[in-house]
Amino acid sequence: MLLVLIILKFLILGVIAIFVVRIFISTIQHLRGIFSFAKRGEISVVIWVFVLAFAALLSYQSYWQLFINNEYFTETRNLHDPRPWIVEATTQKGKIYDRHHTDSLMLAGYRQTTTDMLPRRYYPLGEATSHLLGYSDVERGKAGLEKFYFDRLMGWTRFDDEEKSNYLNNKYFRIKPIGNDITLTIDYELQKCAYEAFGDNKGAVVAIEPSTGDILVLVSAPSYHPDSVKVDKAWRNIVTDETNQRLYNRALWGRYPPGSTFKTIVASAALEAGLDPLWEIGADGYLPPGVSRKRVYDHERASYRDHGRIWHGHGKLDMTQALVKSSNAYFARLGVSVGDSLMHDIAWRFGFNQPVDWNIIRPELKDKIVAYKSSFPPTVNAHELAWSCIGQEKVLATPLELALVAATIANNGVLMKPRLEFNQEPQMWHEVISEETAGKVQAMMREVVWGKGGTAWRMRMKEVEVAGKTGTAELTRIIKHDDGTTERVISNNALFISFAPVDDPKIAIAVVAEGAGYGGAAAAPVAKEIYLKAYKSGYFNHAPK
Amino acid sequence: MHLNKSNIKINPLFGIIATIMVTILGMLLVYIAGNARGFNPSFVVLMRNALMMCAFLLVYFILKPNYKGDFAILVVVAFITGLGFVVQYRISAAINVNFQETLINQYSAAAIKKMQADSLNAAGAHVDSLKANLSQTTRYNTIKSEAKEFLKLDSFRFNQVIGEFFRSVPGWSRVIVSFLIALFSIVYIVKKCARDEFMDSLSKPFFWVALTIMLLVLFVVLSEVKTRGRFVYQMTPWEAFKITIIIFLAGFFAQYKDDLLRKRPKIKGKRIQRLLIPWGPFIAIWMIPQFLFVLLKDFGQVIIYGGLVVVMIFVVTRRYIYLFGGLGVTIISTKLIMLSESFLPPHVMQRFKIWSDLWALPHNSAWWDNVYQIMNSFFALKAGGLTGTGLGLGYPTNVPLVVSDFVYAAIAEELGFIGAFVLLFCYLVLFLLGMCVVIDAKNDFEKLLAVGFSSMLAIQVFVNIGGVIKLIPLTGITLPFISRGGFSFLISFIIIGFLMGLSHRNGRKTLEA
Repeated sequence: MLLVLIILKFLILGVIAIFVVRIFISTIQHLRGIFSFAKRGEISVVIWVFVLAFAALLSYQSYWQLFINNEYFTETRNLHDPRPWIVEATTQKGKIYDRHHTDSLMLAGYRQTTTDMLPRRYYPLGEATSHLLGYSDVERGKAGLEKFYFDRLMGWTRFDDEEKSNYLNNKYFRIKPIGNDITLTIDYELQKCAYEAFGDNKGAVVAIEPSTGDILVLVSAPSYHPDSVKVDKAWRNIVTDETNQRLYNRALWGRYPPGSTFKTIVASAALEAGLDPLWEIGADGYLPPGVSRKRVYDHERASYRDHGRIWHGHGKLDMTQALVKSSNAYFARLGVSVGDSLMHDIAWRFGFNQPVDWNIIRPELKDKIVAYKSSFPPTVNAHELAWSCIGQEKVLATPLELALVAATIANNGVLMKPRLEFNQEPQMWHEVISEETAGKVQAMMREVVWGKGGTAWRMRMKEVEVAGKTGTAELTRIIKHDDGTTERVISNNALFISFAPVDDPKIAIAVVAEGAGYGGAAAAPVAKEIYLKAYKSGYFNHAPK
Repeated sequence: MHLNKSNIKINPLFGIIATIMVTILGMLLVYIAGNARGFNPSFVVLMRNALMMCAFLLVYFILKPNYKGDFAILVVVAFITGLGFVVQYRISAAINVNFQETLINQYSAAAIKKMQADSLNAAGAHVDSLKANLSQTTRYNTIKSEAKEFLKLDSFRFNQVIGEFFRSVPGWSRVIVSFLIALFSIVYIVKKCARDEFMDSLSKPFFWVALTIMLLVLFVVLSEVKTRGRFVYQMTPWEAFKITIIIFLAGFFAQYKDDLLRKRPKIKGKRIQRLLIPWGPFIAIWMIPQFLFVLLKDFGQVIIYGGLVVVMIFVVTRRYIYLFGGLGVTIISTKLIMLSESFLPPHVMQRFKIWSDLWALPHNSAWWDNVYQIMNSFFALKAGGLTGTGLGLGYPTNVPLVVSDFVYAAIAEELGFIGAFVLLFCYLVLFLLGMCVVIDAKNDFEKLLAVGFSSMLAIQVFVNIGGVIKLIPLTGITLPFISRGGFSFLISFIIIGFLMGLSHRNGRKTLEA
């Protein structure tokens, strides 16, 4: 239909041009005599002046219409030109599906509203996916995957045959264009379950399928309802809510001290280096060599003191026992004996200190999915290294990175690129540790849940065998009051990384809950809910017993 | 018969019929696209416009028996007017519509239908239906059904349309009558020009001095300075002044040609008489209005009348000093305006600033308030690109003043750079046809008259389009034959009437000779 209109437009211009050109030729024939300046010079000059003036018009117009490449203009156009928004409003944007690609499990689509009976963009999971999917609105702009996949959802891309034919249809046949659907690797049920299990906590949950790198769950809380983007008052509340920072996507942008969960990386590095020492860990902790006077104590020391008891130390510990009991002194000492260079090498291979290498259809655009780098900065002395190795000091990791660490260990030491598009082939990112090492770490992490005195004993389930590592990162914040006094507030971030089942891992989950207390108590139950849901959804059905 | 020394190869009848066909086709395209897009152009207006275009045929048949001149002028004007009809039809259909909302609603209606159909399908069948959509036959069928929907063939009743047409004729009386007056003023003036007495009376400059000053005083009294010379129906009274000033200047220059060429004018009498007799009327007729235009802050008119005088003096004297002097005065005065901040009123100064430095930092909301007109015009140009979005498929109504001053932006968006080129080419050919009349003219007065009229049109085109694309500062000049600007439409056709009348005189004299 559109094609006919376009062709007929040229027919009109062609007919006009044919007639006018014929008149032009006859006019030129008529005027030929005057172009000698001697005879009627003045008329010829007047003609040339006007021809040049018209030529100047056309050439200047061609600059604005065809050749303009001015950043100011592009910027102004993006800000003020209403055309793209009208086009967006009149395009039926593509749906976003979860990994099962059915209409009932849609993540974004259209729904007829009850008030004005008009279809509007609709996100069935609401707050659970608002950070992931984002929004696109005339007043607020774009965010999330609505921003990243904008041209694909609008039907402007031509990646495969289906998209190509859709593009041609849009361009030449349809007056109302239809966008391309996208299938994500997100699991609808798990995402919903994760958000509900998280409750009022602040933080994030990320679940990954270890063998493919599929992101199954990406939840950040507290969240906002996508419909509130359209409502001024609700939006103002969200923007001004400084304590909750509702617009902040903690799963990708939140950088937390990993706490004891970092010990899995230290253990991996030590096993790679061939270390598996049996050390006497006393009540006096561990003093890193050098100028440092600050000893690394086990966390039991403080809790025993609070209860009016005396801590006598763990005694002899091997690495498994140390991980099960989460001994700070042991792993600080272990990290120092592994050494700075190997620790950084292994951490880099786990995905620290580098941008996230997304497995997406256009690798050149992977920076556009904003996910902050997890950092393990170079340590200047043994003191810093020791504290880094128990996940304090300057080590920071995003929830996504923590999930990747769990997934790497679960996937026998191979880190897959995190994948959001279901149709992409899985790709390897790094070969992090050897299969043997990974097997040992897996066994250790199983002991954390199932072993005697394991910190993650709450994860014991009859349905599925989980392996994991808890973490509690201590944060000291100094709050300045209005009257000039300062107050030290200590809060604990609860962290938990895990995977299940141990034999053939299908899911790896990282949970971060800000200020919620101990990892085993606050973060692990969220993961448990997700595992139970996954069990019901049949994720572990084919796992060999 | 060797007509008018030139071989006009086209049959003007074919040309005018082609114009009418092209106009109808263009309006049909707008109608189809408009129905699909949701701004619903009215079919009866399409019929009205088509019938109004047929008046060109009527003009042709009335003139044909006695007319010895060049009909190509009428054909080119018909093409430009037809294009103007198409564009105005398209804009007027959408201009009062809240475009975004209507489009969303229209789209929504279709989307609801689709959702209902979708819900009938089982979830599993979705992928199959997607694949089936790709096959050729289904695509053909969907296109067929879409076309039916676009054209609204089901609800189209010819009787109803005819009835509606006749019912709405009284409401259109102003549009139809003003158009017919404009068109038939061609016939009237051509007939008048054929009579020598009429031309003689035109060539008496002092009569035109009196008439022009009378008109001017009348209009100045009628229109307040605050409204910038505009009163009822956005009419600009100065438009009528264009005709009289050209006739006066032509008569004046023809009469005092020799005195202008000599250093010492051979006029008898005292020294003051020698100075005042030739230059007094010129000052009265040209300088006073220029001063008034400056007072009214109407710089478009200043440019037009300035350019007109420069061209005419140059043609009379053949001295390049006038041409380059005119250019020099323009450049120097522009520079002076740029330098002196307080000389001009703020809004004109603003336009000069925008013109000289569009991207003046910072780009805040105050900056945007100044540049939004010209920027929206650029957005339209950019959206059009080389080939344009297609008639009825762009968004030209986002441009402010798109009906009158910025109509060129709408053309450039919907027909693209190519369409804009064709339009400019039409104007150029019209100018060249005017120049053909000039070189055939048998006396100085007629020659100068033709120079004045054709360059008046060309300057108007230049000033309007130059303003829209920021080649020169923005002025309030309309695009001849296309913009809807009250008087200017009528005056443009009167100018064409004079050109055709002069062409007729030339042709008749060639035959007599």
